[in-house]
Amino acid sequence: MRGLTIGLLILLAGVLFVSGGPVYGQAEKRTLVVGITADPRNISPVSACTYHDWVVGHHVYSSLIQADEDFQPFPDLAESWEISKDKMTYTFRLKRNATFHDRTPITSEDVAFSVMKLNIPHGSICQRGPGSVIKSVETPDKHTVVFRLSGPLPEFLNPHDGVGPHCSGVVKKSLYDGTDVLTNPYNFKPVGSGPYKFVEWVRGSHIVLERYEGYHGPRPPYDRIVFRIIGDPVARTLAFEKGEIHWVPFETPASEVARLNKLPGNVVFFHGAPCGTMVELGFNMRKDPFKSKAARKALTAAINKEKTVNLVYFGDGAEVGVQHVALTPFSKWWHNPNAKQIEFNPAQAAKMLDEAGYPVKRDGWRFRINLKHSTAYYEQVKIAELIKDDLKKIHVDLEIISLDHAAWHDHAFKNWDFDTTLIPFCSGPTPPTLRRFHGTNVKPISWANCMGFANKEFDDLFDAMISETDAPKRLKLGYRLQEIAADEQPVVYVAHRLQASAMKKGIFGDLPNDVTTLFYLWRHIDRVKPASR
Amino acid sequence: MSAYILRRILGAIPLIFLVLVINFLILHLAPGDPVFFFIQGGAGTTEEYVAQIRQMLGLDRSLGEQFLIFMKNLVQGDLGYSHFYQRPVFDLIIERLPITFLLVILSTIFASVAGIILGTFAGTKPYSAVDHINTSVAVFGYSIPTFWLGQLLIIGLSIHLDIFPTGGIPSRFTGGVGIIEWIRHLILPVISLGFVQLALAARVMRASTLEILGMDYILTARAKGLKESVVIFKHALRNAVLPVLTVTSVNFAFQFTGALIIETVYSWPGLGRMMFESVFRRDYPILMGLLIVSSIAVIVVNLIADLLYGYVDPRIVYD
Repeated sequence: MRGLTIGLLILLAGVLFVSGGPVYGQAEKRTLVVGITADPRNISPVSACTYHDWVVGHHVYSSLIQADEDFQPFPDLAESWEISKDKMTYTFRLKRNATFHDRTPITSEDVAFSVMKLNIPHGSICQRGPGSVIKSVETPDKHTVVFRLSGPLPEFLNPHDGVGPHCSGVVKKSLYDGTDVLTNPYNFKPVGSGPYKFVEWVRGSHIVLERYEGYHGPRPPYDRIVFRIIGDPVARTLAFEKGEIHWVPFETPASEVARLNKLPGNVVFFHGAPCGTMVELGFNMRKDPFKSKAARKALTAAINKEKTVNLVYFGDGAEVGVQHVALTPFSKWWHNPNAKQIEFNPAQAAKMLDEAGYPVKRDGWRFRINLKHSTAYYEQVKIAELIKDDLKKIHVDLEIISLDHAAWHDHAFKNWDFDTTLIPFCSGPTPPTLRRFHGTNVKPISWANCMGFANKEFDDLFDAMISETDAPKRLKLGYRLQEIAADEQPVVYVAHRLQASAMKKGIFGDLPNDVTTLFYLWRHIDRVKPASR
Repeated sequence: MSAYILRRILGAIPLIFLVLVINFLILHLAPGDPVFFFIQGGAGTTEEYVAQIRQMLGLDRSLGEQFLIFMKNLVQGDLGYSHFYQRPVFDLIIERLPITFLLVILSTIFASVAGIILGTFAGTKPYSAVDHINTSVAVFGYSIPTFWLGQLLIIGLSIHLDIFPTGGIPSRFTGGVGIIEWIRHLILPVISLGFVQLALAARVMRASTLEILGMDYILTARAKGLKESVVIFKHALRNAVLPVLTVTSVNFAFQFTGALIIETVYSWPGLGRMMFESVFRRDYPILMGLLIVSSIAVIVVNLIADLLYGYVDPRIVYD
């Protein structure tokens, strides 16, 4: 009996050892495994607003245009388009061979319905972009869609802020018409028209897509994509290290980049993104001393942004903040190199506060303020500690208040109950991103103008710029807006946080170098052949 | 016995109601607005749209009205609707319940069995090598943070020795769903989750065994010439194990908390992770649904533990 027990234990151990690790490469089908941080809300254009909504959804549904390597509009469902001379009418000709995953043809009715009933009402990027100017849509025939605008929008064909996937993700009208689009079950078992069709979704575990053989574009290289949902960054990194995941787009911890790169077979890199993340310290301009521009600039001058980048982001994971619009390949065409916030100079900061009427009092402090931040962003507590240290040197007492994410939203955006707060703002890719500082955006809504910044010159110039179609004039307006935003200092531009992505060598063939391509790499896998293993 | 069980079940109803009232108030009065997470906001969002979503979520009503609607739905078996997931809460819980249930039950069994065995050997041979191992395991297990133990196991046994996967559940698309795959995916999470319980069980079992072995009836059993193994496993064990049952049932609630951490470390799609994400998003319907499930689970487990006493110790009678 004892011998049998021991024998069975040895057999079990043998099975466990022999089973070893996963065998993705040897599977019957060629599978790409991608690690993402959370379940998407759904797999449809409805309410898609985070990267894991897009990284899954944009393989399943098509849009009128997408981005090429230079971030220029590239045909997707629309094989061509025409723009009227007054730039108020856009006509798109659809591909005639495009079908949904159930092999039924895509028509202009589907496109029109998707844009007007799904994308615009339920997409914040679309609402502030094309959704704000589309007056009507016509479908003169089955393969033509005509948008008529109430005013010109230069970003209309921008792949990120225009009629790209964020504003023209197409669904089958017959599956959504007459239903509540928010609760439609096809949001979770989509019938799309993208390069991959939906197979399975086990919430919290994985999503499986398979190549759609009837795709209207170039044949995608992988038979199957499996998105593994791994919320914990350490677990995700370990799974990548072991080879259970081939690619982690974004969300690789900055602290792991150097270590992972030393291991054979890995390529891990920092890169920008169209919606660059500018970590900003917002001032509540409704309160003293932040009503004073001199005080705001003084506090800015007291904060050592370079130290933050080196200590918090390990030097490579961020760039020193200069102004709201970070310089990236996506923004370089309109980034104003002369728009800069005041430089780090603690001596000057102290002098400015003295002159602004905030001398050091008997208790040793000029004034006391708080900094509220969300614990959802792991680096913010470190940034807050560094800022506290810097401000202490000019006799400003900073109390750090860490809040859970939902509570922070309440304090920062709903109730405006803060002195200063750390906010990771999206700073791109196109000029409308500056809407963040518009006076009409002072409203109790997440990610709005919680600082209470209202500058008439800024607002007037922004309103003029948003509809200006003459490129040089537009650029000039954009430049001036950046100068105002930097000079008025409603926020301290602390750091432009970069993303870190990790991939196994060879999964995409020759690794592209261009940052633009890297962001849309997950879309370009439709057009890049994998290297042989 | 049946009357006893019925009394316990009826007594649990007001307890669950109290849990719901207190937690409903805590959740709704805590800062954080679910509407903000639903919309994600931005410069293009209007206040009218925010109000529309607030109405859709039912959050424009008073707290009392919201609670009454919740209770009315509950008695009809409706746990509510999650607008974030856009699915009924009941479906979401049923989908994930087996995963968490599997993890919690297996880790409890592992902790109890291993703790009882270790504690028994330590108690029968105090201050021996086995006893020192027992003490070390107990101190280590009780001190080490669960998530850290999990990560260490992954680094050692998964990355370096490549015996187990780093996490996740088996899938037919990534390695298969056979029994061997399930065992391989379960071992590390079960050990990680159960280790604290094991430490506790081992210490309690040791102390209890030492106490029982000092009693007169054990002396009598030995004097009768019974083999030592019979003395320990037939006469001593059943009495010594009662405190372990108590500790295990009392700590069962904490296993759910531990499951939250372990499901995050090992990427298991269970209720714990869903609870964590729902707290983050202030998804009230899911949180209330999970509170009901966990309250019932704790009450049921305590009832089972009480009934097991009667089975293990025939002197205990329920009337």
